[in-house]
Amino acid sequence: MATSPWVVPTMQSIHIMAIAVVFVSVLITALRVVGVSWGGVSIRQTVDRFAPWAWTALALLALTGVILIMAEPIRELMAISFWVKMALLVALIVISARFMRTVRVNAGLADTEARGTPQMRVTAIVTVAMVVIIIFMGRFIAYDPLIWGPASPIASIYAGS
Amino acid sequence: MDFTALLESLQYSDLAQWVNTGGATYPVVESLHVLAVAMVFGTILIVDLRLLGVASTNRPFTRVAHDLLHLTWIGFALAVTSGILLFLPNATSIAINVSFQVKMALLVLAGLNMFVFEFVTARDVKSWDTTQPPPNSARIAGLLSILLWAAIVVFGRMIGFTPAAGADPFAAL
Repeated sequence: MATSPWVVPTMQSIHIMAIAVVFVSVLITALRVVGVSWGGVSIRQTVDRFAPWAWTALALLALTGVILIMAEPIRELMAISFWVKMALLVALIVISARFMRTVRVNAGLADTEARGTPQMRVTAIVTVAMVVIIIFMGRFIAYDPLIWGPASPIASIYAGS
Repeated sequence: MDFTALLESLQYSDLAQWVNTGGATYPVVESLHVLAVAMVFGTILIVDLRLLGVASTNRPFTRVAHDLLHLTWIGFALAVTSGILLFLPNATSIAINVSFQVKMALLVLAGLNMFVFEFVTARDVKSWDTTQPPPNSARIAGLLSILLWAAIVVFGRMIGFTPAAGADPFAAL
């Protein structure tokens, strides 16, 4: 698979487009929760608008991610950046699922004028920061020894070759 | 100064050397570029899907565009700045990279599409701001925009995979 010159860049391109959908979905929802954008509709409507796209994009991220791992398993699985990205991704999914449950049960969030509670605003900002770090870690996979130095297992692979 | 000499002077400039230190600078700038491209592509996609009448249909088009396009411009400014920084250390080879040239041509086309939409289709936006579906001209502009920006992402990623100067990125097809 790695021998086809189109597989990795095509999968990476789809991966980037999928993370773009996740990023802006989280960003716009967060801006609505904080109360600075996407006015005129409720937080619940905003979540209903963006969550299905974000979950679909996450599924696409997983699919293209698996293909990228199969194409270059050592580069991916031996990179510290990859595992930091995965840990953050799991945390993001858990936090997002809990956030969505809060939005479902809190009737006040169906009000078009309502802003998020202080805790929801903190969660919103944290999730945006998490997606930004996930994007950075995704790119850092290619530069793992540069980022993590000798701590990166890939550094020792290169040193041994 | 001819174009090649200009590219060489850019490639050996202090700024290019700073980006290409061999440390974390280049990966950080590249990550910022991906973040910026994600912001541009993602926000434009939301506007385009509204133009197509696929999503955000409970809000007027102008309100969707107003909420998002300043984020698009912030992302675009960051993408251009980080893109120039990524270009500098390898200016002579990237300038003749076919994928880079295609990406630049697609960016011009995306700009033209936006220009035509802004000054032709959107002139009577009040008449279709809340109607469903939007007029065909708006839907065509939205579809073209999605295709062009998706292709920009693909050819942007292809730059690093087009090995030799002037190599044909379509040769594998």
